[in-house]
Amino acid sequence: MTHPETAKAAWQESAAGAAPPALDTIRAGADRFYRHVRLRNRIEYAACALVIPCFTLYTFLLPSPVARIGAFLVVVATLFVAWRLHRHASADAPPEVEAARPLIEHQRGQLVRQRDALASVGRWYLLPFAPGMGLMMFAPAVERGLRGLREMGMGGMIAVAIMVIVSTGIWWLNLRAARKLQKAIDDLDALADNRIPDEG
Amino acid sequence: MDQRAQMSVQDARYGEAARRFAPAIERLARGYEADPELRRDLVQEIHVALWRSFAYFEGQCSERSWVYRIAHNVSVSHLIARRRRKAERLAGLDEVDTIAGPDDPEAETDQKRIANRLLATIHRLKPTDRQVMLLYLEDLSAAEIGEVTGLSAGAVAVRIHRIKALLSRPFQPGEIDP
Repeated sequence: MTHPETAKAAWQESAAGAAPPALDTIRAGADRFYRHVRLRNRIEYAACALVIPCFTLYTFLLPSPVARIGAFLVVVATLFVAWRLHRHASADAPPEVEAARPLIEHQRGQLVRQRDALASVGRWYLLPFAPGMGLMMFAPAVERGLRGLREMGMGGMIAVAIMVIVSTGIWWLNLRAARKLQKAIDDLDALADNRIPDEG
Repeated sequence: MDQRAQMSVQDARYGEAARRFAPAIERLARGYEADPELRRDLVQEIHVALWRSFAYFEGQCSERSWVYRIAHNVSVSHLIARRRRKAERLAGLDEVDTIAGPDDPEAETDQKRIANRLLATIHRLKPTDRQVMLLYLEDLSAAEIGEVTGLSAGAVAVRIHRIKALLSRPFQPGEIDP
């Protein structure tokens, strides 16, 4: 039989000699969060910087006017996504602001943020590219109707199918992950209401 | 107050709290992260957050609750990020029957054996139950646990009751199901 007080004493005895890190180490580590955010932003902006000149070139070089409009729309979509990323990154709260909230609020806040980010992937990061990519891929059909569609051939159709399947797959996986997070949020809400949930 | 003076007040408040709570932070990090390398990072991350937090701590709650709040919140973020990379099956207090863990032949004392088994059990728990158990073992009162976690008094009481029942049963050596 182990009394709870014995367990507490044994637990508190462990790591009793632990010392805090030196203040210089703490100060050096304090900027890590901001460095991480800056690096993430740079990668995302670099991806945009790669797409924009590429598709801007297409708007001048592609032979089909419809495909050129499509390429232009992809550039607009990329600028829109970059603006969204910029706005989202600026809204990131530094960790110390978040960390002072009670655990359950902090946890809920984190889960809600992740859920919203996952649920909005389709709307904010996939859908904006749909008109441009659609026009580029279906340019022959838009210009020449059924004959153009036939001219796209099997290769063109497979490319379209792959694009649709991959985009839908990404969308679906993100929605599924968002639903799982919603379950965890519901459980936390149940906790706040003093019910004991079956946590996920 | 100029920035330098403010910084030295922040350093002094952090220094005092860090010395007082360093062992508790280390134990808490053990409860959240089994990997020693990652645990070192987590401990440092907690201390960094704590140092930053003393720039704006104005007695919103007791210093003890403040430190545990910061430490647990950083650890929960760590746990959520890790579970995104590696899913693991976690249990609720109601599903855990005994304080069981692998028998460590290296542990020289009964105290160490008990602490090791407690740790193995804590690693199996879902985040909320884990938080309450860690805070209970640090001897926080039910009211303080409620203040740190934001759980209602009823939810804390149910969990403490389950923890007490669990700790009153004989500890079991043996492997834990992953």
